[in-house]
Amino acid sequence: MATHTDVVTTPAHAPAALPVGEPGILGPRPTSPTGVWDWLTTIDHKKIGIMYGLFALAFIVLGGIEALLIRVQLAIPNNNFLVGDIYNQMFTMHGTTMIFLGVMPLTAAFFNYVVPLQIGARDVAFPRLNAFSLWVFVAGAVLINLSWFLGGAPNGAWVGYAPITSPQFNVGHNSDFWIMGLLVLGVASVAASLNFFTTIINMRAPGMSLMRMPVFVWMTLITNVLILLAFPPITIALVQLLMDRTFGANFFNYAKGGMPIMWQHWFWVFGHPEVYILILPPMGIVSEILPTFSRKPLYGYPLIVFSGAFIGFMGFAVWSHHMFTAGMGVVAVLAFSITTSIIAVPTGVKIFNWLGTIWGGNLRTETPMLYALSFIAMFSIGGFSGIMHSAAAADYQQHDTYFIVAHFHYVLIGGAISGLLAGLSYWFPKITGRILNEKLGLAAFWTFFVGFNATFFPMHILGLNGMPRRIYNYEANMGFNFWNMFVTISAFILAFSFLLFFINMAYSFFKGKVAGNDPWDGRTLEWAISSPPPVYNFEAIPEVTHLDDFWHKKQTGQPMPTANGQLIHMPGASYYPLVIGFGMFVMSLASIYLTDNMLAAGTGAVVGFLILLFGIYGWALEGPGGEMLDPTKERGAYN
Amino acid sequence: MNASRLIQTVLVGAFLIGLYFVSLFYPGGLDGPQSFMVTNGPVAAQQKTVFWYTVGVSLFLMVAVGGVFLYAIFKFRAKPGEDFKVPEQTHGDAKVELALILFSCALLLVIAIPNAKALFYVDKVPAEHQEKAIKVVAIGHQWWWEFQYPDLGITTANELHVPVGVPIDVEVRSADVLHSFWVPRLAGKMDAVPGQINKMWFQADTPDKYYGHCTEYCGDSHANMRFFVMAEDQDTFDKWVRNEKKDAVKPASVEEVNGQRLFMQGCNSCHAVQGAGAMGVVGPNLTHFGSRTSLGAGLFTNDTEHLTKWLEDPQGMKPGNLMNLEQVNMVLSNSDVKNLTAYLQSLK
Repeated sequence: MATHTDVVTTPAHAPAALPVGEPGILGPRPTSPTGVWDWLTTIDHKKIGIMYGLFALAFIVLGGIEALLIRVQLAIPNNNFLVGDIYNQMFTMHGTTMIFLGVMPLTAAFFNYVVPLQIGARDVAFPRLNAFSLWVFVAGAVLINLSWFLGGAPNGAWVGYAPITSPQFNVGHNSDFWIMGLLVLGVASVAASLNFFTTIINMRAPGMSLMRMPVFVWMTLITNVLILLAFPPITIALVQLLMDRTFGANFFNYAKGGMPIMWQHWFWVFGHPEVYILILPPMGIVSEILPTFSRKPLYGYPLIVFSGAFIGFMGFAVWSHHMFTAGMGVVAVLAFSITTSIIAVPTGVKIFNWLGTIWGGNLRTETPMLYALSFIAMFSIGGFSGIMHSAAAADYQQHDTYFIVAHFHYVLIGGAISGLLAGLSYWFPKITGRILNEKLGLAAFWTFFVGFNATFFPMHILGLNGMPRRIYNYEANMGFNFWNMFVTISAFILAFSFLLFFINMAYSFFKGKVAGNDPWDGRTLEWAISSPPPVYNFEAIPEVTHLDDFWHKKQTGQPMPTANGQLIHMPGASYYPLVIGFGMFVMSLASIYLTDNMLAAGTGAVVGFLILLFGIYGWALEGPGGEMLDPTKERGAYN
Repeated sequence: MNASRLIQTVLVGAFLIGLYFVSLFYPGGLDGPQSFMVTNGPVAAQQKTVFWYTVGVSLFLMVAVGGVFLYAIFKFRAKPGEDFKVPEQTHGDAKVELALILFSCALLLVIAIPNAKALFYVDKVPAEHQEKAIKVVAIGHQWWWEFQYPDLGITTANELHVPVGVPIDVEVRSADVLHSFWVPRLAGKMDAVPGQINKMWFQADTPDKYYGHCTEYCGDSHANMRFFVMAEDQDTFDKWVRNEKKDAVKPASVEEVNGQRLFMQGCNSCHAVQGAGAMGVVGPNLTHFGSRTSLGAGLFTNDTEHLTKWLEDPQGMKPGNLMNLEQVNMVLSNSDVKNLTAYLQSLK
């Protein structure tokens, strides 16, 4: 079957293979070039990437507000601001939002926008499936958050440990929203992972062997393999819990022979790889930024690639280190303690090689580089406390205290978010055509760096001092008072740094310095094309001969290939990903109420399913659509 | 580097060093009643030893890697006007990489060996002490702890009495959801998992009231699920055991008699008072309630004021707890509360 990226040498060959522009049997494809309908029906990886990014940032703001509310409650001992269940809802949603609706989609935004550009492709392998992933993600995200207005948000913590989420101990629909929401999000993630895997394996520019791929593409590939392997276990667990809650099954009901501990195994077989799903993409981003701003190739490229793969692989062999105190027996604990500490080695290898990259370089410390350097420093601190937990005997004390909270925020904010902000600053010029204002950027960075450390470093102390996680109050005599107040104030500074970053994005979008194609003197292919890139990305697909091919071409004075009368087939937009997302939303929302009213909720679910089915048929029958573009005629429109 | 950059760097550096310094030496920073940096028993001490090994290795790495990192940032910054100079291109060195990998593995061994030793030590009571160990069954409930001494025939709640210098062999179980038994100064935690019997042990070396907290999220009042380990010398402990074995004292005053009658009209369906015929097993055993120091699972001092408040509004005192008077249509008048308070306090 022909794919949309075929370059046809003469128009005469086109119609037979590609009936471009013909309507399918369900009417013509959408064609609005601009406006809301364009964004809702687009299948352009760049627009989808931008939407992923905007949704993710919105949810990071929401999760941040939840974090601030938590901090307000904890500022003083025995506070009455958020007591009991509502506090539990708040921290459950904070974790769920940040991980599934914030960081993951933000990494997806980079996969979408950057990967096809870096491998010299015109789009991802399955553009409509890409739009499908986006809209299904939106459906799941909206579904989970609707719970705030429909009787209460999930309150089983982000790990949802049965039996606290079992029907015997959790009445109301709080956990049902969580289960259905995560199931829907899982569909989006798995579809996207197949899409990126196929894209990276099949759609690289000629000459780009695997070992010539940019490290970010490598990390995307590994991450998506992890997603593909890690989401089935959580899906199984969620379906089992759904059966328990909706149909009275007993998977996790000890009284009827169920096994509560199984939930923890299912969850962490997913949950630990999930941690690497969150951190490997930012590692890839940092591995792009450091060479660019050091003006040296990445030190030990193959080692960075293989240690990333090794980390991903080992991610499936350490899940029980989240369960050291669950009573697995000393041999299992020791075994997982050892496998966990082994992960420190490939992680260390990455850090050594990043140091090797900046060593002897010519460092420019603009904001993307500052965030990347902050990533190395803060992630390392999170890594050190990780080594501390890997020693199970010590972890018996640290487990479920603020020491752990400090650890994973160093990894996820100091690490993942630092890396993602680095990426945002780095690729903002490519995405918008304008550079982020450097003064505002510096202010945002230093506020972030100071606010972050002041918020999370003292949590180590609180943990050592014995403050457990997930508690909404504490006594004044516990020695927790000073640092809790300090942390709360610092959390607002951290929040302010995000505000500065967003202000900078908005300001620079309209008033920023025009970037040109290649503002950082970049090394990879995305910097060879205009900013923002034209819809077809590359006038002609370049031939890749080296790692960091664009840098090599610049150094040796080879020009990028240009179009010479070749037409490019661009796929048409489609309504159906959106329709399917909507159908899935209706279906899952209705299913939540099956236990209340089987008939009404069942009808709703069937209606949702029919919408879904209609979407699938429409998708299959709408025909190829699309148009043939002549890049030489379009050129003026983008430069 | 221009002046404002320099000032910025110095300020941030000073802030961070100050933060780390103040964190570590702030008075009260590391010796709260739940701190596991202060240990009073062999299990916690072993675990702390492993902790210091990990700190040692981490600090070494932090100084070494951090030093190279900071040096590189300052040494290799682009000079003004030379932003786009291309430095010498290096791609990596297999020997350096291999050396670093081997060195990292060796560092991990420094932790792994004491870790393995400590794991086996804290796993069960050492064989030579097994005979004198006291068996305790700790059962987590939403949101309190039941403590049974199977060999002594005692059941109590939220305050675990133990003699000093004697290993306590604990079976951790759950009656409902997950909980975790944790007394930081004495031992690391062990989860209570429904349907599973988890074992741990600890020993208190000095008499004290040790703070414990449930550390596995268990619902509404997880934050309020606290308990104490009362470590006493052998005589005090023996005296306590003799008293616990007795039936509850008979009510003496009019108030206490009325209180008992009231207790037997409802409270008994959840609470046990041995000798008075109350045999409920849903809530804490109250046979010797008056001798406990705390109320509501370590939440409040056990005195007239708090007990009165508790009986008037248990939900307000501890959100979500299963003592929900509205749910069972139980209305207590002021005099009822007074009588019950008197009765419960008499149960020494």
